[in-house]
Amino acid sequence: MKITKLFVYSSIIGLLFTNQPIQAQNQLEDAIKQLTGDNVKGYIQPFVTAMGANLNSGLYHSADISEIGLTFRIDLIGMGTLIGDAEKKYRAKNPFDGSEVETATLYGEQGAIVRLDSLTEYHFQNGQIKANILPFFLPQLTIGDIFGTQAIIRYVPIPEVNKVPKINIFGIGARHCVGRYLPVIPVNLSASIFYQSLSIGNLFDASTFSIGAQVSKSFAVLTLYGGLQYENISMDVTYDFAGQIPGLINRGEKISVSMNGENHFRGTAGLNINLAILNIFADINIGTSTVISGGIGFGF
Amino acid sequence: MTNIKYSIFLVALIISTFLLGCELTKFPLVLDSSIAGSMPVNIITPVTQYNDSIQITINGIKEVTEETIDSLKLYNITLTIENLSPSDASVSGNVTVDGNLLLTFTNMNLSQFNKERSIFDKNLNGFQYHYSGVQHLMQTIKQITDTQYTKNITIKLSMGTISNPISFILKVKIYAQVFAGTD
Repeated sequence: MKITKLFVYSSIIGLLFTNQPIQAQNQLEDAIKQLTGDNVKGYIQPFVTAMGANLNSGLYHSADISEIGLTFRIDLIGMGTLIGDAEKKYRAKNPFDGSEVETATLYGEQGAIVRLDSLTEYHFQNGQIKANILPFFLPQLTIGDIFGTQAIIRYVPIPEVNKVPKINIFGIGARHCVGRYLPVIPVNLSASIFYQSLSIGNLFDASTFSIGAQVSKSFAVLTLYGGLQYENISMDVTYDFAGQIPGLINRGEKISVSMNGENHFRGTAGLNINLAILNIFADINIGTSTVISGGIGFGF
Repeated sequence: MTNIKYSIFLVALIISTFLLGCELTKFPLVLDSSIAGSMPVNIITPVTQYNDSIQITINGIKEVTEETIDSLKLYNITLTIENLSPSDASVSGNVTVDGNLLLTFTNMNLSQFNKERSIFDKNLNGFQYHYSGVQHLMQTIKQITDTQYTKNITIKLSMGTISNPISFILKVKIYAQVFAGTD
């Protein structure tokens, strides 16, 4: 009962705090709708990559999976992808003469200015989120173990409230003990496969896929874990163009772009402290993107 | 109970740590906007001077957002000629905005504007824009940022001698950018 109550409290805290970046999504949607198909990719590419890196984080905190046993664990996971200077600028296409202009991504500062003549100027979209890290929070359920296998489930349905767009995340995957096929070894080994779908408002639909291998070693209450992972995020962005560029594209015209994240391989190193039914964990993930992840888990 | 308090504190600490690095920027959202006015011209008998004008309510530029508007900036003015007859018609004259000279044209082939063209397009022939009209529009658009009252501009087309019947619809479109939403 106390665990359930704590989960509810923790979720509310998480949702309240995540409200800030979610509200930014709405401003982000308005900003995106001003962009031509040529420029929207560059503007939001860092967001797509960071979302993929976040969603593909926090899947495991140990490689120890028993042959037959009972695992029931709810994790509250916070993850954040670091945003560097390289993610704050991109080469946009000048809608008036087709030349390239360096301007702000959604994490950048003020948009570039191009001149049509000595009197008038056109201002590219400004950055909308000031961020050194893109945070994200998820609950995760792990259940098992059957024949050395665990199932992992993520589900976050947030309805549209006021200006906050609806968010739906569903993820399902499995981890399997690989060590059972090997002679006695001093560490635990497992392999995982995981799929997630994500939709935010009416603009973003994404899916992620990851496959990885994990290793862990326990010392009393402390477990050190690590792993290698291949991953991808594919995001479709569809919107009605709301900008107005004379002679180029009509207002209201549907723009649809498909994008992939740039983070495909990662190495993970982390630790988990097991205090009876309470687990505290943290890890760092190094790839094209750097992700830090941490949280608490309840269960056994 | 101590464990639960400790856990809540941990969750809050982790969330706060992540959120320290993420906030909305102070930079306004940039929204494109435009207003347009159309003026039908239909001259059947020869004239030595033709004048006509239209009024455009310029406040419409602000209607792209419900957010607080920080500022407005003119960024383009375009012309389109529709239903031109005869298709090779040429005219001379000028266009003013509230009496300020915006365009002059001399024996200008109207078919250049079958597609929407910017007045700043350097490839147009027999055509010139003037700073006085552009600056007046820029100032007028700036002024409506805080204005609650309806603001109209008058666009006047004047043409010299026209010997043969001519008809077309002149469409003037004013583009601006709205900087909104930092409050």
